[in-house]
Amino acid sequence: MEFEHRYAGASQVSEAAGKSALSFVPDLLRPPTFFRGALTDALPFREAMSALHDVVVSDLRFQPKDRSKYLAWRAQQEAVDLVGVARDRLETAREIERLQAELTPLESHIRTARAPFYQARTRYWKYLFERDRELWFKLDPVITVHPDQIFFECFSRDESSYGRLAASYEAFDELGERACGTTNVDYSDGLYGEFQKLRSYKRTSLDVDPSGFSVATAGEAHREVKIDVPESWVRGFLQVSSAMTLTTTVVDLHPMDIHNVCLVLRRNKELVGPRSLRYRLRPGEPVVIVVEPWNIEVRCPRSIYRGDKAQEIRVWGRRRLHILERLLPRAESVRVFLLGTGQPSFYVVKLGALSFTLGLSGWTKNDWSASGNFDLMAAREDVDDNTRQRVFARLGEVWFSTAAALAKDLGLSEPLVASSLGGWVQAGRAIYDLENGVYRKRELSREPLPAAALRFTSPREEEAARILHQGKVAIDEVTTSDGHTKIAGRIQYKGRVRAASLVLDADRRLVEGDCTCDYFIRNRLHRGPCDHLLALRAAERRGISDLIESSPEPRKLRSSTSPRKLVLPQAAPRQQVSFWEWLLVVWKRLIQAFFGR
Amino acid sequence: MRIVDQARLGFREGTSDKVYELDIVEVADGQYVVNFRFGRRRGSLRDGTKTPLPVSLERARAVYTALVAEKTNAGYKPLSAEDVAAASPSVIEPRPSAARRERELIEELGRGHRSEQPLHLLVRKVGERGLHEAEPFLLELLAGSHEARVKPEVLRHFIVAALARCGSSRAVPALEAIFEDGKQPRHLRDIGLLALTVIGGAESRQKARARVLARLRPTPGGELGAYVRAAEELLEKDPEQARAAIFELYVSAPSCLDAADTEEDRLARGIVLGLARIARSVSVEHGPLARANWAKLKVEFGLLRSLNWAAEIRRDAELFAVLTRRFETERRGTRDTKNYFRRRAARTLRRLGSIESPDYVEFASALALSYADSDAEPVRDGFANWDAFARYHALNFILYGNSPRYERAGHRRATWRCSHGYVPSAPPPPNREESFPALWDQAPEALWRLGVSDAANPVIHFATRALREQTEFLSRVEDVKLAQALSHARRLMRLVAFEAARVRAPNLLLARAALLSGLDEADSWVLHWVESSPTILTEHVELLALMITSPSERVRAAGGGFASGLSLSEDLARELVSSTIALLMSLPNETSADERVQSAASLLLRHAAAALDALGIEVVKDLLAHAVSGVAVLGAEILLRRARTGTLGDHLLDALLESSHASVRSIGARVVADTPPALMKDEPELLVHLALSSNVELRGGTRGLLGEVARLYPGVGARVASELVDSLLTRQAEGVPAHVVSLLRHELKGCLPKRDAVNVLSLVGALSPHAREAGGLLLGAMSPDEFELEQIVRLAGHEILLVRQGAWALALAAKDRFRVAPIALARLCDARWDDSRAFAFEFVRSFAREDVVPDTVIAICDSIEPQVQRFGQTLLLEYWREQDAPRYLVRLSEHPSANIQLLVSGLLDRHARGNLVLLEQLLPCFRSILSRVNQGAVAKERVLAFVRSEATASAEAAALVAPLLERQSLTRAISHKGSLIAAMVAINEQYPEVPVPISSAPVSLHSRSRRGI
Repeated sequence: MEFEHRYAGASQVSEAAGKSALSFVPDLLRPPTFFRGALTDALPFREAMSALHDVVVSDLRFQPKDRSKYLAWRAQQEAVDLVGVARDRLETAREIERLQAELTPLESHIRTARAPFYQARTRYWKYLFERDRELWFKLDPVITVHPDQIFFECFSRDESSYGRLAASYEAFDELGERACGTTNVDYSDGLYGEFQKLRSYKRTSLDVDPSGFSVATAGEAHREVKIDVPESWVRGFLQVSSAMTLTTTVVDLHPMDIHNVCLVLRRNKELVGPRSLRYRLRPGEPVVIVVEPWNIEVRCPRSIYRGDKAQEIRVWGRRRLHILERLLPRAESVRVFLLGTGQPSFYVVKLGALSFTLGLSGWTKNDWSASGNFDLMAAREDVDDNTRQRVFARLGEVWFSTAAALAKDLGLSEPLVASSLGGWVQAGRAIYDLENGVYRKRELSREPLPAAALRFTSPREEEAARILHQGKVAIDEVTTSDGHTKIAGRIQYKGRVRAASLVLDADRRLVEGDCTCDYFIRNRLHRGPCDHLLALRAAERRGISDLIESSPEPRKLRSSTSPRKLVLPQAAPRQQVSFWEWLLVVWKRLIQAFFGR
Repeated sequence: MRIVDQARLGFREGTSDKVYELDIVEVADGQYVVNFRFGRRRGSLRDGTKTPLPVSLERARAVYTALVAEKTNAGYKPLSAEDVAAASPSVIEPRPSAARRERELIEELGRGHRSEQPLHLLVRKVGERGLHEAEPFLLELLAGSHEARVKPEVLRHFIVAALARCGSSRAVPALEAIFEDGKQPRHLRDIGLLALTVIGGAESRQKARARVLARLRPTPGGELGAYVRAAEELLEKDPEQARAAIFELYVSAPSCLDAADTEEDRLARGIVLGLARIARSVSVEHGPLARANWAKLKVEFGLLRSLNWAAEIRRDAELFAVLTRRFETERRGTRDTKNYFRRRAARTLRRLGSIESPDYVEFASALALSYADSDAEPVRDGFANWDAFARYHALNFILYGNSPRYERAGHRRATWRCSHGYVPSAPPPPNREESFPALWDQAPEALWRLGVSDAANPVIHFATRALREQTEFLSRVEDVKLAQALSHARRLMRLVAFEAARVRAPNLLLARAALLSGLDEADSWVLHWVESSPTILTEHVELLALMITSPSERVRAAGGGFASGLSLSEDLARELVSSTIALLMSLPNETSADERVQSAASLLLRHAAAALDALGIEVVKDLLAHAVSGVAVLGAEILLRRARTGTLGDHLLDALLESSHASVRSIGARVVADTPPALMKDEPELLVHLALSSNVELRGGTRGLLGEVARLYPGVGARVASELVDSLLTRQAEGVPAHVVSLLRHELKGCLPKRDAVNVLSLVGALSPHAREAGGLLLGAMSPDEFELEQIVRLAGHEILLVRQGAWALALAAKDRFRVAPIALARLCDARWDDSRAFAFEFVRSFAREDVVPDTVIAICDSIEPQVQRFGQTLLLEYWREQDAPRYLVRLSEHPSANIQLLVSGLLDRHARGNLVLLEQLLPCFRSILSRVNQGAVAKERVLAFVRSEATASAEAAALVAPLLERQSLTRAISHKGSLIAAMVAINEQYPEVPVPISSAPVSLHSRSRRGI
């Protein structure tokens, strides 16, 4: 999916005696959005922007080690070792030693002679790396100016972390002209370095520079930026955004609780799973966070769970919490929003007038064994298009509002409005502000995103969503043993009943499955789970269990223990030989007979 | 050649009685072959060899011994002397003499169908030999006889063909009857007509000519090409008519061009030969018309077939060669037909050879001459190797009829494959391989013709090998022919010619040819002659010219030596120059040509400079335009000499500068560069033009001149430099911008133009790297006041080194301004280039101590670059002033880096103790340090110790730090948690009014007795 931006110049931080000016260059292709203000305290802003940068560059996917050099060395060394093993051949060994002794100074000499070259090459590569650092960013951050706050949003490279820095206007003491709206801003790695120089003793102004729009008409050359973003990235972004609108479990934590979790993670390195955090929540009791696999309990004595239902929620991808470390000294409180086990989670850190929201997807790696969050993008309630447009138009007028207020304004029911707004969030045109509990208008891209096309990663996910919506799913059995969870159930859809079962490992990854459908019989799990398995998993996660009275159809052919036909030994089938092949053979024989003699 | 060892073995068993002979033969020094013969005792033995290529004696003996052992094991036994005598070829009946054989043939023919031999073959043999005595029998046979083995018309065909060879006027009525009889087959009538024209001579040919279609009948003054085109058109439209007309045309002309008396005859023969070479009447197409086309093709092949017979009968070697070559290379027609013709051609040659006809050599040489190296095909391999000319059957028969390395691929096959393990790239055997060597020996002229021709390499190889044995003939060859062969033939033939020439007395003709031959021995032969006759060179200056332009370096050196020894008079020098230049002009454009020319040119410039100067201007122009660069350079050198003594016309200078040879252009540039600076100072545009020229040699050549002008006349230099700088902002030829920058850096260094800041910044910001470099060069000469410090800082971070260097110069010049601008100074230190950073560090150190204020140090420390931070810390220590400590503490405490935080923590104890204001300001820093996750242990220790001591020092301080302690005491880090709790306990004990979330409870003391111990 290609995003196109046009910038007049580059964002920069300029410094002078006693003042710093942050000037962000907006995208000229989008409706004019601008802002001017001076920060009352630059330090929280600096730390929050740094955390936002950490989100942008975050990539915690497993990177296999480059072993090519080692393998090359080993191939070379193998010969030497082999001879070394056969030491009984003393002569050879001595010769090798002599040659090695001769070779060592030569190699050392070569290394010395080539050192400047290698150093220069390394410097050059470093230069290229630094120079093209912008290429590492997927999509420039989005900046939105609203009547009550300005906020920055970004999404990580590994398609798993969402960051949002909101600065209410209390954080500014001099507010200049502004125009509400959303735009992308030019962002570079150099900018991060400049942010680090912000100080409280310098007056810091923040501009989303509107001058670019006037310059644009003067016909000056602009910088065109085209970014090709994978669909999975956009899907991840929208899924995490959509998740914010769902009903969640809220936990208020002390900043030092997060500090303690990070401390445990920094001090320990897990070699095996599960790699999850278990939030043990008991109403009226302090929250306990269990860090697996060591089962270290982090007690949060000053964080009392205010919910009314005891529960335990597991989340994965916990090392992404290190992004919050820089915020901890300045944090006043951390509010955690948990959707459920294996579901996205959100951490809203309050920094005075600033607030930082870190959204984490269910797992760091969005592969099929762990994902299947298509239901996050499911429509909550069918809403007609006219109503949806009305709701959106009204939201555009007020920029932010709660569902109840909008329902009151429009004379519609609140669930209808909430469902409409959920649809707009899924389309990337609005967000839900967890901190304030309001919907905000925010156009992620200049052109509306094809939300319907982005919802599913595969046709099977689409079919699974249809099963959940139109069919029935019965959960017959959920058993947990040795960290593994086995779920068995039946799926009734289009008049047929299938029996399916799946096994999730300690990290809630799908490791085994079984189903009576054709797709599974043909492919097993090689091409990902079938639609019935996906539906079963989603139903279990969402607590759906319908009543199905009929029993499943017998399996047509058991893939593992299918009865084999008795095969009698037969002669090999006679091969059809064409006339020309026959002629060739005859010729060959004739030639052999003639010349062989 | 001698026999080293020989064995004769015999085998007798039942009816089998055979012999096997083998011998080792020395064919050359150290080269041996193992030959064998085998066959029925007292019968003719078949020859063969076990060593296709000569081998060493040991190897030959090994092969020989192995073969003897093999045969002995198989039952052969050595033959006794009597047996040898009985088995030797000498006991074989001698071949009957030709006359006796002819007599026998006539007698046999006379028996008619009573003969035991096939009648048609007898007729053919009689015809081949042209036995006139056979005519009555032939006529008798023609009148009425039959042969059971062949069809009647075929036998008649043989008889008519034989009559054509041995008939007389007596046969004319019978032949006319056949020709006139429309019921007779076409081929028979054709042969009849041919026989009539052969017997009837010019008169009958005229009659035949009269029968030819009017449009194909040649008339004096007619154009050959038009007739051939007309014949082709006719072949397309009416093949039958065309076929008849063309055959009639052929028989109406003599069988040899030399015998043609009239122009019509020559034209008629030319038309037929042309058609035989190129005629393509129809193309084979698929589809509905295919049948019709095949019919046309059949007619066309019928014509070729008739012409082929006619050529054989008339002994027309030229037409035979043309047709045979065409059948060998023709892609159209059925393969069987073509293969038949190919085999027939070889058979014809074999029969001619076997009857020892002198026509064999004519036919063979005509065919051999028609193949060139371009006819070679890719060498193939498979179950056998196939050499480049393997597909040409008749040619292979001529060249390799007795070869140990090639053999016919099989009966009815028309290709030749490698035999006895020979591979195509291996050297050929030394002995002769051709068929009928005796016939060739009788026609050495034909061999010579082949040798000096442009024929294919195998043909040349065969001819030269056969010629080497013709010592008598070679001694008779005229000098002119020898010289021609020496200078123009292939290398193999040149060797033969030189061997013939070296035994003769040297003369100018042979010496010239020998020098042109490129043979080392020939060169030595000529040099020896010249050394022995010192006056020869003055008599024949051309010889000297040949020597100094020889391809051989040795001869050139010798020629140079001779030339040095000669005192060349003016006339001789002129003659030498003209001869040499004539030779040079005829040189082909080869890689070795330049070397030859250089050598000759330097010699001429040394010994005949005056004669060179006197050359006409047209000659010099011809030299300049020559394709060989060395020749053109000689012309340029001559012009350069003239330019130094006078002036050159513009057209000559243009010719130099526009030459396609770089070396000539560079001489042109030297001519320009020789212009005195005093003259060039008035032509700055010309200097700019030269510097921007797309001609690389001109640019390079005038570089010195430009530098000289700039040195002597700085004003002119500045003007040129200014225009060159401007030129960098426009598109220039490849290499020009780099040249301009180089000029600005070196030759024009002292007169760089003054430009304003906007102009220089536009250069620095240009896309062209050369323009940026030029901008950098100009920067150094500018006043720093024209730039803001921010701009200088940015320039110091530029990618181009020259720009950075310019920025350094500006910074040095703007030192006073930097002194009061700590932020700019810090940003200068924060440059991303190591060299700029190193400069900035030195620059900062160059300031006086009092000029490096805390703000400067703090701004440098604020950098996120570790190197710059370290530099800042060093400065902090070096320029530390006690009174600035609080400022340092407060400002550096906001730094996000752990290093600086550690630095700050180290200053706390000495400079912040007891200072409540400072403590309050530093609290965020403490929180930051204490909140670091699992790092900064030392800084944490220091902060905790400091906080604890401060908290216990005063209630105000305790109140300030209590919230921090309370917040951080939640940590899981045991050691820190302990310190924090201890600090809170201390506060609680010392200042109970300060709220901390801890209270001390009285500890209950238990006695030992109560615990039961």
